[in-house]
Amino acid sequence: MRQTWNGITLCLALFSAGVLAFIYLPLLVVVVYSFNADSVNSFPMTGVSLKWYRAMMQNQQLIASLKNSVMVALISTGLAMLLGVPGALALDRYDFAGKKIFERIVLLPLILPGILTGVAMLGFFQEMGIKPSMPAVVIGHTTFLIAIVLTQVYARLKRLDRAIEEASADLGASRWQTFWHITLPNISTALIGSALLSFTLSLDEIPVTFFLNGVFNTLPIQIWGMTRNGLTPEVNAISTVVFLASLILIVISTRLREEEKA
Amino acid sequence: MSEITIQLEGVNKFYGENHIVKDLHLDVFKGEFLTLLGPSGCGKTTTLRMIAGFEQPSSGKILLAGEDVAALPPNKRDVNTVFQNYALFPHMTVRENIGYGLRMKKTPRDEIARRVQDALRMVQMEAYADRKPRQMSGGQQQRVAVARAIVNNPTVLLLDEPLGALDLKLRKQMQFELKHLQQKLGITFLYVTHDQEEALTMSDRVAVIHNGRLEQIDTPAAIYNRPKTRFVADFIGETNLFKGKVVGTSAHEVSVAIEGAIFRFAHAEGQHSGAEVYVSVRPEAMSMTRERPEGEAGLVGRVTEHVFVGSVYKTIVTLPTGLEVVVVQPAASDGLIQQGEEVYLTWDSARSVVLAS
Ligand SMILES: Nc1ncnc2c1ncn2[C@@H]1O[C@H](COP(=O)(O)OP(=O)(O)O)[C@@H](O)[C@H]1O
Ligand SMILES: [Mg+2]
Repeated sequence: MRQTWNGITLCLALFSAGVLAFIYLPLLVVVVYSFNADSVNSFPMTGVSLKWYRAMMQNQQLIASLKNSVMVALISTGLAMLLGVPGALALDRYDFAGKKIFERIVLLPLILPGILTGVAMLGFFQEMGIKPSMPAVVIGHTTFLIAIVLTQVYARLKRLDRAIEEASADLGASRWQTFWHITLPNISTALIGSALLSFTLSLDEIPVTFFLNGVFNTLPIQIWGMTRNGLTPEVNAISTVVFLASLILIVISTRLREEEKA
Repeated sequence: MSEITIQLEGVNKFYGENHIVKDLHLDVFKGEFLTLLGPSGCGKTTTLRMIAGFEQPSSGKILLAGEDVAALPPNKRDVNTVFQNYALFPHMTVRENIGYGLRMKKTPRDEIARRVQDALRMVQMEAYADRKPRQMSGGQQQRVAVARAIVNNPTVLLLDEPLGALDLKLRKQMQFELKHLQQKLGITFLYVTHDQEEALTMSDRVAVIHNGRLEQIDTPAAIYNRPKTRFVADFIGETNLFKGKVVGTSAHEVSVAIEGAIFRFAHAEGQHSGAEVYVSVRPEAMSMTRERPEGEAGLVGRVTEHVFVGSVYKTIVTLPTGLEVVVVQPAASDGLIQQGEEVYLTWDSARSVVLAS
């Protein structure tokens, strides 16, 4: 009996290791080669150096596109919060005709293939006379980020114990005071979490951006352009930086979620 | 005790088609401990929520200190609530929870600190001041909820089954403490429970509610000894209900035929000859003898159960019709009756009530 169990456990462990390797090995390769002293990606490496990071820093186009991406991510996340949070509050607080339908279609930009959203937006913007540009990219990102913010904050609001808001009113707080002192602190993890998620999603968005950017390059599009002539070690370096930044954001949002559960 | 703090005048509440609170008239006197008692779902919480301002009556008026509060939102009403599940603020410490009401009223910081400390002492929670609600037991959370309400010196405290989630022993202790606190502070308590024993031990007056309607409002003793309706008699304590028919009335008493014998009762205003009635007799107002009692009509039955329950004996006597009558007698009277014996039942007619059926 014990023997069989050990056999199964061993198989499972091997299988898990295989899956992990499948997911993380390519990432590991990128990270390792970013420190390569040679310009050819081949193993074993001839030495370790930071020269590709130096090259990355000196690549004006790359740095400019990184700045563009951060700017787009910041603005569209901000806009998504500005529109999504009040939207979630309204959805939670008020009943209106078609609420059920709204709850579903608000998720559409997330579910639809990015390519569809991109094409649709391009057509729409052309009608409106808006040229592919940075504002167009920001609006494009904002549409699907609103869906993220709205659904995440709404889900948190639904779990909020309504009685604590009543208790607050009972103790003399106005509606605004109740929102500020009671509601907001209790949904803060959802606010920060959805902002972080929005930021990361915007940062590596390609399909929608591709249709709307014109000459305005974001980081993923710049990287994609650079890889058309083969994977340069510079790309490994910038990818490693992006990977680390995402990792930090993910760790923070996971922490937040655990804190909320505690 | 004559100044009225809360007045409900013909209050009705509908949820859609459902008539939840029915034509409720209620006067709550300043400084009294009044309990709304009734089975779950009878509209107690709805009534409290209308007084606190979370629900609007469908019709009727609510007055607090003589003022119609229909237009006042909850935060403008001089009442505080201890919620059924405490509703403590999870992101605040005990101290912050208790100080919240004062903070909202822009009380000076040092005064808040002092009054919060007083409130903490009053509910013996000083040692827990810096804990978060989830780090405390139900009983401790309950104390904090009470402190958070009383620190504001409200004229009325509304308490919705505040002890409902506690185990029996803790509940008994908290009943005593809450009553003590209410007497010490002189705050009017409007208390809600479905536990009749809790209502009887704590209250100055009890309002029994059934299906959204006020059945009777009286002192605990009067509710127990002089129930006005069959529901009250049945719901409060244990009682024996005998079905009967009025066969004669005079100025001070009525004669009622029960199980073929005629009994006379006082306290039965408004009963006319021929009326179907119920007679309610508490188990401790019943007595039983081996011999037929002299000059008195008695019911005959057989002892089917005879158990010692602490300080008293509880006996169940089954009548030929199958009706089971409960008799409670002091332990000292033991040795007279055995299981299976035939006995004569009589009752103290001064402690019995005749109720419309
Ligand atoms: N917001 C509401 N909408 C519809 N029905 C309600 C609502 N609140 C309470 N009720 C109904 O009103 C009745 C009385 O409820 P409640 O006042 O909570 O009773 P109690 O506190 O005496 O147990 C119940 O049948 C309940 O289902
Ligand atoms: Mg209730």
